[in-house]
Amino acid sequence: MKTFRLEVLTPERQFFDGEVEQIIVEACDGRLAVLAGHAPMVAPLADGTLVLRQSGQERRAFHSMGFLEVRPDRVLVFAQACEWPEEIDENRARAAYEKATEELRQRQSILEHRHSQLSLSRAMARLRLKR
Amino acid sequence: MEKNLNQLKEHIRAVEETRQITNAMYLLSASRMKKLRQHVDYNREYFNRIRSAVKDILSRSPSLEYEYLTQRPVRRAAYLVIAGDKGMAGAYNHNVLNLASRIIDRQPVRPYIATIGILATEYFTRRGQKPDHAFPGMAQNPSLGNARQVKDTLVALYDSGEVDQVNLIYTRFLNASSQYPRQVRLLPLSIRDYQNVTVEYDYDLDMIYHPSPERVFYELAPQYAVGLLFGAMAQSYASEQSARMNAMQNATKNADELIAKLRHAYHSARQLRITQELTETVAAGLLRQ
Repeated sequence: MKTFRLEVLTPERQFFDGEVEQIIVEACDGRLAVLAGHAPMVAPLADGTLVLRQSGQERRAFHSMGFLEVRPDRVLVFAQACEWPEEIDENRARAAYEKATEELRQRQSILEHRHSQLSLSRAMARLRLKR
Repeated sequence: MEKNLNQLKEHIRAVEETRQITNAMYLLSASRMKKLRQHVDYNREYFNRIRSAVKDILSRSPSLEYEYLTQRPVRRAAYLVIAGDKGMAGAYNHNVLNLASRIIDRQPVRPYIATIGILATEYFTRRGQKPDHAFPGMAQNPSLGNARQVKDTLVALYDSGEVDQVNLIYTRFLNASSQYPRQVRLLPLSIRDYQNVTVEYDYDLDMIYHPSPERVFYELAPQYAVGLLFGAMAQSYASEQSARMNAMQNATKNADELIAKLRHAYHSARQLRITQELTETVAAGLLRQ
């Protein structure tokens, strides 16, 4: 299968750099897959699972908000955070999940409500990978 | 003579202790600096890409409406001043606070002052301009989460209509030997100001914005603001560490020189005493004969 160069960057580190056959990310309107030879594109990302296929093998990772950019020479994923399943702290994610669910049950300002929703979606995306 | 020797010994010991502290601080700053360098570089790339995407969309859809792009008449402005939590960093704090007070004193209406860093808070309190808001514990920890929190507070302030403009005053980090304080506008977003930013790639002409240019813009604009803030916080922190590194390196060097001088003085005093004792013993022996 035709491959392309994928680079995944966060503000803290270079998460991934290598040849892949396909990637799937969580765009703001649903799952989005990119294959080699895709036209130049920019798409914002929500919190979700990054799936990359490398020589037939699938690898999964968590990605938080950011954006995807398809360039003629490579594909760039910029996310605020990226973690392999083994790097995810399950207890922390579970605690964040419970805290956010509890907060959403209470009366909150619009700002607080949005915060809880975002932290809930991050926690759920992390926990999905742990299962 | 005996007293003089002990005094010198005591002095050497004190300087050696100080040297240990300055050297430890130097090493600490150096290691923090190393970790931070990559941070700053990755963030710069992240941020540049958001900026050119957002700018590109704007230049192609001039009718795009976004509340944080429209300039309101400025009745009162807000300033977020970023300095350090502690001194011993050369002129770092002094420079940025100096610029901040010069800008703030120029305002016709007393601006809203927000601070990051204990020294900034203390500085304005001392001048009788107690900050309206202080973000504690953020000077030492420039993380995205913190930047997001600061952004939300400032955006809420702007939304409430209490201020019509939000500015940052921070220290720009160019390289280890060059940092300078500067001011940038956070709100309303100054994306249109960056006319001189060169678009890196010429294929931008047929870029697909998924799902739509407007949607991409609304998603990326808040990230742009967070990126701007995070950059300011990270660069200030890098400048502080690098300034402290230089200051502490100089202090350690001075301590080394001082110790060498004191040791020299100590040895000559000791030799002088031995010579004198010998002379006295020999003289006494001669007298007894």
